[in-house]
Amino acid sequence: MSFEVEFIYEKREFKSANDLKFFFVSEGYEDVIKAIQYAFVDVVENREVINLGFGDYDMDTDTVSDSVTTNNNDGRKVFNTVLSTIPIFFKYYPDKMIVVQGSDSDEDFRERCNQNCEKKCGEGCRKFNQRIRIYRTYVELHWDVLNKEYQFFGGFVSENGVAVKEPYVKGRNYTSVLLIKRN
Amino acid sequence: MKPKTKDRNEESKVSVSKNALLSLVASRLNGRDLFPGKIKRAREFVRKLKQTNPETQDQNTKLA
Repeated sequence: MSFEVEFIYEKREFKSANDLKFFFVSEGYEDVIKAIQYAFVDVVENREVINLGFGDYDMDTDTVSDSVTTNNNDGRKVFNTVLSTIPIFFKYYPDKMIVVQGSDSDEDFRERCNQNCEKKCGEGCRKFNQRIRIYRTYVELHWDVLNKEYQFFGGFVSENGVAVKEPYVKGRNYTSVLLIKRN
Repeated sequence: MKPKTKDRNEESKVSVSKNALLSLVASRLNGRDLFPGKIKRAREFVRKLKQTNPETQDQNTKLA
């Protein structure tokens, strides 16, 4: 996974005992501070699972939100910048597993969205799973290259509450994407 | 002659102030869980996964 420097933002890295963070400024219609955090979740199959979180930092409220839609006209560059931190993560932690989820994939999202959204899509909420779809689309588009370097898994919770993690199958409607570095 | 869009010194000043800003943000957010909702959901997913597949159960450790 490599990117031309002109297609990613310059980012600053902060590594501590508890997490790995990156910050950068999205320079679209306005300047927006973006935060990326890799933080411990749990251990599965003797491997630490680390969540990749990404959102906007608000200086006034001193909070980070992963549910805002910024519409800053630089989505591709921002997304590339987030992805560009993955090889850095694996350089530090080659044996850990990353989990990526969208903030719009939780069970309550549809209900919350239908209350506020003008479209009123109901059960067919078009914003549901929109964020993880962006990651899935990227993985599937670049599968041949990425699959050589990383092993991907798809995760979801079935209607009867059973959690599934399986080798990634293109086109499946996963709510989580998990990846490990191949040796 | 075309006017310069950005002076080199100006560019370096912008870069310094951007770095200073990001350092300030990092110090403000130091030690905080930035995405507690996502971590909670990921933990819930892993918990369910371990229920479904007991062989996935492990001892807890931390990112270090």
